[in-house]
Amino acid sequence: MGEVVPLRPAEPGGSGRGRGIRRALAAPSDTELLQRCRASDAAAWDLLVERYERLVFSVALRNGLSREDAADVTQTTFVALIDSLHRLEDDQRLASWLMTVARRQAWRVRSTSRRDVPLETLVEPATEDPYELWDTQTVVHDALATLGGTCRELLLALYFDPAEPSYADIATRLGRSVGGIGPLRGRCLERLRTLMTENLA
Amino acid sequence: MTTPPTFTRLLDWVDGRLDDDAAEAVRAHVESSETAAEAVEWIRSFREAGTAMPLETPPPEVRQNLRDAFRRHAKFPPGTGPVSELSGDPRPLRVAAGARSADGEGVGHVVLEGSGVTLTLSVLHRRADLVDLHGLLTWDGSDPRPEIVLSSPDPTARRVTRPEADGEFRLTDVTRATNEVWVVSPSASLHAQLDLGTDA
Repeated sequence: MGEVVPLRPAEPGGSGRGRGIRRALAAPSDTELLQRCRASDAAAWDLLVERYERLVFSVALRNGLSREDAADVTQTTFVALIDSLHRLEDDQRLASWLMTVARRQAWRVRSTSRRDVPLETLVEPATEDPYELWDTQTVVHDALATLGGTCRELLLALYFDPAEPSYADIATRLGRSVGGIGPLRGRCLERLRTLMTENLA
Repeated sequence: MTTPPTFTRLLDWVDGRLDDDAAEAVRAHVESSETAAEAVEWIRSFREAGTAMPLETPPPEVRQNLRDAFRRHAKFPPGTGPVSELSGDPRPLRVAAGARSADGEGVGHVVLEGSGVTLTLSVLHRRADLVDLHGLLTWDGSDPRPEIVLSSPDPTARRVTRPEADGEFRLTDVTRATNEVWVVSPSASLHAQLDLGTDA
């Protein structure tokens, strides 16, 4: 694991073009989906699961779990969300809430597993947090959620998808021209940087 | 280069999408401009975040299980649903979803009936804030085995387990604040409120 490099905020008052992009590419926000879930809207719940299942699953994996255990933690984390729908303190930070619950569930699974392991096999040093870039990750994913829409999908596809899809694949997925992907990614990332500055202000 | 490179141009450079001449021009600008250097550093940090935790896709049954779990939950208004309580009360009492009893030796029992599943819990009242649970789950025996989730107001204190093939399971050091139990599987479901009582 490399050195922690916190994302530094951009200078305040960034480009206004991003605001136009955000409006044009609007999709239901996390806040909107959560409100609909509270009204028992199953379609909204499905969208939330689709939006965050990979993030929750990946947090569990990155905290040392097998795929089977990570799948269990993913389910448990979302069940916790059902349970907490009416108690969430900040709907706009759903991503980091899910990440935090998933990470703590992963710790619990790991610590429970270790109870069953013979003492002599426990040679690795105790590590409370194996994931050094945690703070950066939570900030980034909350900001991506605020960015939303096609911009979020584009940046996740370009920089977080282990399959590393080509511009052509992404263009097809998003219903856009291949030639527009490069410039769009720049505008989206610039907007994300501005959002993170606003969140830190 | 007479005009400063745009953010997208800097990104193209970091992503290695410029030819040699263009890349050299951007590199020279970045070396001479603190603003551009900060933007490049931010872009690299963002890329590193993606590299450090790529988003893996969970097994498809996870999504289906979660769809089903919410739909079961959505049948009931907030704060309602099948309810049972567990306490040290020695009197047998039948409630909506189960029965409770205690054996007088610091052990309480509850039997909960759900959809396609029966959950029997024995609670050992060991300490003021923690209890041990021994359980037996009966269902149709299909795989995957149902997941048993015990939740409390503190989501970080949540406990999860799956029964052995014979349906038994054990959980130690469960917080007394636990107030809800879920059983989740494609073929069975149960959702009930719990009261693990106080240290008798």
